[in-house]
Amino acid sequence: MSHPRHLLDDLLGHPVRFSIMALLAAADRAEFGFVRDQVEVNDSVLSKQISTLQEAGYVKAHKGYVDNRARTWLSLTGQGRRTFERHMSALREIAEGDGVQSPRPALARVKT
Amino acid sequence: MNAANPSPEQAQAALAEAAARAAGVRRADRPLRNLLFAVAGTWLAAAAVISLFPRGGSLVADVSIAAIMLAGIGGIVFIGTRVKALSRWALGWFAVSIIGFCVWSGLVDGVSLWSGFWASRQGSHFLITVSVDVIPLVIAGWLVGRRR
Repeated sequence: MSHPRHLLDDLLGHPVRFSIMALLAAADRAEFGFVRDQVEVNDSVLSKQISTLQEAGYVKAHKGYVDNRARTWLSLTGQGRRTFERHMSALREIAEGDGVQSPRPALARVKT
Repeated sequence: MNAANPSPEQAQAALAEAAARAAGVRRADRPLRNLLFAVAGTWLAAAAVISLFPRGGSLVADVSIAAIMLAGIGGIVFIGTRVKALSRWALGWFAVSIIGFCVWSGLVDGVSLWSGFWASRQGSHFLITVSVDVIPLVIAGWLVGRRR
């Protein structure tokens, strides 16, 4: 059986991209400003990472208007969701692979 | 962190980060609770006015009900615009709650009519029925609020 690291997605090795994907995996959709505040980055860093994830086909953006103000909503594509799930499965296997048990239930399964 | 080959500790840290981000989204679901309570509150307030004027034909009652409905709709729209993120669970739960409310209130109202509990000039009976109608919304909102 191959090592679970082979199932890891290279793009998600970047901590900010991983955090964005983790947030969007739990959400049906999230507003750009909410993602920025939760991931604790500025607009330009988030825009850059979102562009990278969009180019990979993992994230899609939709424009909308609330109170006459433009809002950008972000969500995962089907491919993005599948990739993130595979990445998380690999991380779980690695985390538990050497007999180390997850100290918290949240590590066993992320609630969405 | 070696992204290509993380250690078990690094993998655990990444899993903890994912759990923290998911918790942030669950917290963002809370306006949904206010939305459900706003629907229930609007319904109850309108029912209370109708109960105060069971004979109908009162301008005060008509204006009050119109004002309550407008305020309720305005409040619901306002809360809706404050939603920054919604989990898939929240969207599904909201749909189930509203459908459950419609089915349940239809049954309760039907029984009230069929049993004669609702009859002309029985003011408080209407409010009692509507209080039972909104139970699914209150329970659904309470459950959303408890989610961590």
